[in-house]
Amino acid sequence: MKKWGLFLVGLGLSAMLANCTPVPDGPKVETAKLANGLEIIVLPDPRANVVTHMLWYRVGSADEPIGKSGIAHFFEHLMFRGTEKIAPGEFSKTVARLGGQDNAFTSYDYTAYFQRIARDKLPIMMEMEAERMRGLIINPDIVAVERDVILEERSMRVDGRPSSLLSEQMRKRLHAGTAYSVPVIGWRDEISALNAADAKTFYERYYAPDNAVLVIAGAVSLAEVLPLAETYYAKLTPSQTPRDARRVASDLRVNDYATPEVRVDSRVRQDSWRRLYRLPQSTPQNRQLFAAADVLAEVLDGGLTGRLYQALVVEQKLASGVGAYADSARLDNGELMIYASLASTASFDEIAAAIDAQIERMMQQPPSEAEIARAKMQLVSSALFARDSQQSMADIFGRAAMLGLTPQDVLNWTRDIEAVTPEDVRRAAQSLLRIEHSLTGHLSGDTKRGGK
Amino acid sequence: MRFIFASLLLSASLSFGTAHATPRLHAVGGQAVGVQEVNVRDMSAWLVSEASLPIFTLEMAWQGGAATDPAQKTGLSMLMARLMNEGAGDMPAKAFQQALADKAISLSFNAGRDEVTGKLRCLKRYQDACVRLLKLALTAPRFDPEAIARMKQEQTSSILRAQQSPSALANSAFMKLAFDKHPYGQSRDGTQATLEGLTRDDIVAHYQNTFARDNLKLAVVGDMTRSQTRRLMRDVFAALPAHARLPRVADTLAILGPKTKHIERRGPQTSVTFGHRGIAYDDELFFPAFVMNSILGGSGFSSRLTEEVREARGLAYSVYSYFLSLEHSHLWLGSVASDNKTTQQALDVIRGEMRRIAQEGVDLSRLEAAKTYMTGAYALRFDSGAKIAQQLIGVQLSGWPIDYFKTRNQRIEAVRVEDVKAAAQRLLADGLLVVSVGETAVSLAKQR
Repeated sequence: MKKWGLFLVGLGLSAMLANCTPVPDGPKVETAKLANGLEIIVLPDPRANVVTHMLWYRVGSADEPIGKSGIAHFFEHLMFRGTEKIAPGEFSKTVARLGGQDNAFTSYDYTAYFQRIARDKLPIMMEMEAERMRGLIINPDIVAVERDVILEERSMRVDGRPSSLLSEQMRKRLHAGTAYSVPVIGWRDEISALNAADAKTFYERYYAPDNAVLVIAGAVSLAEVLPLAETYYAKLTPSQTPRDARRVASDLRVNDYATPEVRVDSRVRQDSWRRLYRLPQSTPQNRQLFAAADVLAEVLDGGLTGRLYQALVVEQKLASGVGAYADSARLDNGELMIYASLASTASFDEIAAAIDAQIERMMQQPPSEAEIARAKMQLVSSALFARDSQQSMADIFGRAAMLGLTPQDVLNWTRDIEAVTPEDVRRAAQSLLRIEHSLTGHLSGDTKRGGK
Repeated sequence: MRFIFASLLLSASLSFGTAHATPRLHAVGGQAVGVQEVNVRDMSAWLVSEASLPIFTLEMAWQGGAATDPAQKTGLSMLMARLMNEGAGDMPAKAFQQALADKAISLSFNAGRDEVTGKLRCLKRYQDACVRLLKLALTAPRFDPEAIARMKQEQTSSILRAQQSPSALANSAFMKLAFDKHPYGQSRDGTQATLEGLTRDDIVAHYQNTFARDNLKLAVVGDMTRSQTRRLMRDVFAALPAHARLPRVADTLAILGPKTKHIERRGPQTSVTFGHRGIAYDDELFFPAFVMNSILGGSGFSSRLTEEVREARGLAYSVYSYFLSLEHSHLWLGSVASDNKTTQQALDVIRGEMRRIAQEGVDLSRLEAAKTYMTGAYALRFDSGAKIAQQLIGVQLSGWPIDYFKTRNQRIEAVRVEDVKAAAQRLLADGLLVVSVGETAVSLAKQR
């Protein structure tokens, strides 16, 4: 993982201050680091008198011990269930009573907690967030109730949804042998067996200032935030036990890639086709490849103007909807996904053939200048539109930090996109869209149609 | 990294709690945001001029919407809305969409129950192209047969997808029971049969009847001055006909229970939608009812339903209630999904909380906590230009005056404990309508 690039020694505090090289007309980003390892990113936006206070931890479901799937997400729930000073359930109620909203989320590579609230309440949010970083009480009775809540959550998100069950089985095969083969929420039988002891071990290792990044967006500056962070967060002791290195697939071939994962379920009314390509790990060395991948996905998807929509929906009338996106924002192997909703007259084989033809075309000829220009326009402007929302900004920079990217890397992304050439896109298609790196899935309500 | 910028919603992450889409009419409330009214001829727009980013958003709404779809032509407003950015003037769909994409212009339309809405998002430097393309879409939509067929296919998919979702199934069955033959009982997407029957003539006529000036509401937010807004209104909207010509939709009251309906569907959970009649905006108990619901089921982690159903018993991941105020009726609705074995228990706990708040009311500290939450969190709806635009259009559609942003919090502050109890007694009286989708048919048998 990379460290912050541009440190300046600051203010004689135990913190280091840094400023990113400003991008013309770009957002302001201020960074610092406390002596105990807590990194701080501030994204000033004075337009509204509110702040988004987020604490990101470098731990996600991909860091779970074997057989303990779901513990990262389960633990996220327990963080709302009481400390010495905050009674169970009182965390969110206190935030609400102060006129704020809070929530948290868990992914493969990170777990984040946030509050959105009036700016003058920021110190209390910090005090409460710091309190639960090291002072959580894990009560076995509460663990049992919360486990039921999570089983209901799994039922709602996955077990009652054929589409989610298909994705889960596809990722199990696509990422076999690596941590992303296990769903973030965990396997049902393993969730059922999680207990207070598992939670405690997990907490002590990962919930520490040197494993966290504080991101604050909104009506504040670093100069205002830093003394508060010193007051509330500086006293927390580091754990000095960062997560272990994970197994990353360098050979991207998928076993049995030619056999689609098929799910036939009478609850399905709209048949759908999807394909996941396993991507190489994103590193500083291959960032241009991934910028080209973003442009590639945009040329393919691109809404109504994209190649897939024009070919499958408009011309061949095989699908009612189709799309593509690159999920390369992962610590290990990312994914590029293509999906289609089948027209009632189309077969799965026809969809696959039509999509393969578009991919083949991408590999053979570079896209036109007009296509590239349009894709870049969409991507670059998305970075500007994102600045309208302090919550999006906190999310973007926090997520990047979890992946080992600096704020400067984020700011440079638009330049990376601008530098992509049509030939880069063709090469990206050749190296990233190889059928042997992929897995195809069919979701159907019709037994006869399911396989084909 | 595109994922980081453009697709936050697709993220493979799980949240501690569900974020409920608050129905538009209750998402409004009070903070001064520097809203000005801009009048041009017979048109009016609400503007927040804020130029720190070189972008602007325009929200448009035409009153009418799916409620004006004839009974045998349900889905018409939605199909028309889908077609409004599918080609205009001499540009067929692809050319029109390319012209938008070349300048990163986002233009989309949707049909609500009581209005057709449009949303335009532009980079300031392409303002002229943005305005030109919007005008073309609004005044010269093509409705090409190719696009009509394609959008019918898309809408059919949407109908089918809704049949896969237990909560969507429960909601649509609830609306059907509550409103029977009234248009509110129909799906906005229509049915496969009605959709099939819609012709280009139907769409053109509905377009001509809907897009006028006397049923238009406008909100402009971002890098736009007052005079630029006036010019936009003159250039684009003055070209629309003066009067909409839509059928009158009758006011109606939802049909009450006590009544249950069960739809059998295989799966681990049963999804339940429950509800009553709601309350009109001009009712003196509206704000007390709004506060009462926040305490009961509207405030996420702080609500009594979450406390009792989720935190204390682990019976559900998500449980909530809300008011749905429509132009011609109103509902109070709630939703929960629980394991088939515990669905009845979850519903019993919910009904117990409804009785408790109606019989006992709330104590002062609970009321004060609800008020500070509701008044404080109101500001969170104004922290981005896109959100402010949604607020401006929502308040206009609700029929509130422009000072609502200032008075909303005062009205919440004024609610007293006895008002909350009175609202609960009137609104949560017997007569619950319940739809369950899953393996457990729930009952409303008297408890304890």
